[in-house]
Amino acid sequence: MAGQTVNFKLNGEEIRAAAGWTIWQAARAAGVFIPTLCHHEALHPFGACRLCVVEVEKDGKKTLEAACSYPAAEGLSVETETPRVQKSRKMTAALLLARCPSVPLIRELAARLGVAEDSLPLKGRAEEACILCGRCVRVCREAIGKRAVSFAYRGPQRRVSAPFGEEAPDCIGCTACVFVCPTGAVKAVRQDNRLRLSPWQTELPLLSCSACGRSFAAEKVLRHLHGLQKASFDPETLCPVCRRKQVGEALEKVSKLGKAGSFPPGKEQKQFKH
Amino acid sequence: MKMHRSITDPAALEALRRELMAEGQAAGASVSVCCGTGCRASGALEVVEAFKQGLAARELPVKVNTRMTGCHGFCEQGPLVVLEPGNIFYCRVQAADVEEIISRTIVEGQPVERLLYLDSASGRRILREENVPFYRGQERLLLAHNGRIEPASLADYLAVGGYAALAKALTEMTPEQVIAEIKVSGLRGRGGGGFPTALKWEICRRAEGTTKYVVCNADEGDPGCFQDRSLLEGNPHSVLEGMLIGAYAVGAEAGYVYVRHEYPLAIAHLSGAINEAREYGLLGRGILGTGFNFELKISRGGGAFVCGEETALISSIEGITGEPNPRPRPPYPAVQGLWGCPTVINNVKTWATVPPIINKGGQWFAATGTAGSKGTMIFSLTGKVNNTGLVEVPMGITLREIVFNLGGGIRGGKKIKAVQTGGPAGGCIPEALLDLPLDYEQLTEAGSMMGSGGLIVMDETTCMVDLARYFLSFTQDESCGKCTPCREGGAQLLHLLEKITKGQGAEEDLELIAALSAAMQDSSLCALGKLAPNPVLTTLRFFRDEYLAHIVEKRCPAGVCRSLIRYVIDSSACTGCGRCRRACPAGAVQGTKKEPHLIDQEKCTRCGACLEACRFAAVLVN
Repeated sequence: MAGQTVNFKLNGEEIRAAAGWTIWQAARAAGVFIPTLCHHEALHPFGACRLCVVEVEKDGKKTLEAACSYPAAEGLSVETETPRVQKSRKMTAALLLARCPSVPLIRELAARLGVAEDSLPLKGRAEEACILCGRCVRVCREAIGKRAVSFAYRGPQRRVSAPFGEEAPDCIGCTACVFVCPTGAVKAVRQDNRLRLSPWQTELPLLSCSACGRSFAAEKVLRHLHGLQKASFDPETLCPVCRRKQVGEALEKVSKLGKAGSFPPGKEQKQFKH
Repeated sequence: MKMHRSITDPAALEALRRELMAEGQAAGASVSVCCGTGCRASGALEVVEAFKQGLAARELPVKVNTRMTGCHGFCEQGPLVVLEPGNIFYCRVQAADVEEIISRTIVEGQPVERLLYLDSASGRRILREENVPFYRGQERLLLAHNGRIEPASLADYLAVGGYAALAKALTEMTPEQVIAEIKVSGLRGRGGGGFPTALKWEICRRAEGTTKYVVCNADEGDPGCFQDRSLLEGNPHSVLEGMLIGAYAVGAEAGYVYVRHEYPLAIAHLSGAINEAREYGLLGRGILGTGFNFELKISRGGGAFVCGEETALISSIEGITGEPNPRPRPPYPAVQGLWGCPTVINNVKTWATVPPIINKGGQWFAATGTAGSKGTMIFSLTGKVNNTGLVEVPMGITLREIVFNLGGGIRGGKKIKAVQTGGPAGGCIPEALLDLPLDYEQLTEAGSMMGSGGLIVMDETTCMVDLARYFLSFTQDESCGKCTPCREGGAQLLHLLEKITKGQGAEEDLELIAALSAAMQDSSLCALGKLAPNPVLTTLRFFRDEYLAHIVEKRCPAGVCRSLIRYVIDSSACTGCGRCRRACPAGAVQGTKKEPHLIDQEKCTRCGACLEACRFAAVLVN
């Protein structure tokens, strides 16, 4: 398959995409914007939020499909802004706004798509921030290789949760879930040398830097990373800043021993700040 | 029973079959007791025990076999007993009746009148099963042997011609010829989608890959549907044989039956059948002396409705959460399915239809049905109809024929209002469209669908708004909650319908209902969300006046929606017997003996217990 391309129509223009690309990837390469919420480039397509729907014509039949997961294929005709697409996106935004009335990202999205504040009768809790995009669940599984959190319950009761709603025993405190959450529903608080993750109800001890004494990462993360590198874990470890500083100093020493200014030309030595 | 340990070639299979058939004929007489789940619930196992003991205690001139068979379909009248010779049909048989059946019928050859089926139309008792109107209008292809064989008995299945189709396919046909025969038959998926079976098989056969799978979808979950269950319980070998033939056709060597854990009897009979088939060499390596290998496993589902959806089903078998994946199609599961391998997933009924097609030919099968929908279909007939049960009828039959000829009309002489077809994701067909021929296209055109074959009959006492609310609450409960339109849209839609049934609806709500339904249909991830608005849209289309009565007049014409009705006592009809007073759980009925009673509307919870209790039609619904 490598190197193969497919040709299809995007908003009336013939475009080329690499085989295996989704419509969303092909559109981005062609400079066509398609809004997404649950999609994240580091993760497999999930197709849950339905915001990225586009109208796909195939064999004379027009259907709405999720651009984030639908593969670009020879002979398709894809439209990204038809009235049908806009209507669907608007309703999706309205539904998410009703669920999460106070999340800025959703409020902006709804406003941009012209959704009125009270367009739907059933209102979510003011503090509800989770749109169930599943990025946290997927990043934990796909990128970190853990399955510390997951979806629980089904239908309208669906939520993201650590097993049995208790502390997540498999959580290593990497905070990747916090990083990928688009709405701020997953939070990490560092306090008193401890890392608190919500809504996972999980608390992990942080390791302190043996040089500067600041707590910087959960011990479990470092053990996990050492495990990946098949290295033994040393609790007497440095925080990233101190480690860089140490490496920098070592390099400086080496360069002073040799000729001055031996860094490759064009690359400036970065200043380390603490 | 003389059975060889292994059936190594088609000739051995035929020899064994002849032996078994001769043995069956020598026995001369048999008692078949329906031991399907329904009849078991009403005492079938006690009836079997009574027959076994009663027959053993007597010296009879001929040997009489007692058979525990699968579901006969006429669940309304269970437990059912059929006696051979003569095909004598007894219904609602209890253990206490058995002695009389043995002495009167088996010994003296006389029927027990009171146990014969009473035809309400003619007022006459009917002796033979084939003359009972419920059976007379049916064309039983898949259910033909359900009432004749012991479900997990390979011997019984062989005696009725079982595995002849497999032998024929393996020794006389190439895989391509098998697919061609299915193509000629015009068989379409019986799970509801109606996808041409031969095309699915062809795609899978041509797909790249050495490992391929066949899967039987037995995740039947529609309320009131039990045809897949009855087939697996009553004739599991027919499903097995179909899967073997399918596996040969597509080039698969392994398969799964995905069956819900709530079907313990189906699982027990299926496991029995699989074990016996394996023991006799009909599963495993070198089947019937050919180079064909096949193994089959049961995968038990946890009872999630959404796992009937192909991609969710695949995930569930793979051991991950059973929810739909955004696997766009193509590639269909036939190209990339279970563990990424080409996989054919067919419904129980589809698999069971394969052996008769191979035996009698595609042409023969295609002679029944309509232009686009061939063969027969099994429907679960339930609701406000006299004869509930399973009916197998030719495609193209009208709803009216099913409800009035086979079903015996509406209970209590009431007026029919509509029929819900295709389960909770299907639609409501109003009385005016009852002459619609039942096939895939016609039902879809009417806004409903064939689905897995559920038929729920509704009379004038059914509120169509409440019905839509009920089905939507079901699909909402069963939605996995993954995609926004189904999860959030469904919740909003349900909220609006609840508002209307409480008398708090507004006319503009109907527009919002239409918009939400359209969004769910258009953009949901899987068929559950896309089809869930169907009951709402069809009731809105055909019964808009009922919606308006709830909204504008704050009235429920069928007298169902609690917030909109009042129970009152007609003082001229009330005799003061006190039954309603004692029945009322809220203490809302007041009155002294032999004086007309009154209902305190403040206390009344509108449960309807008084209405059911009253013997003088004095409780009225306003």
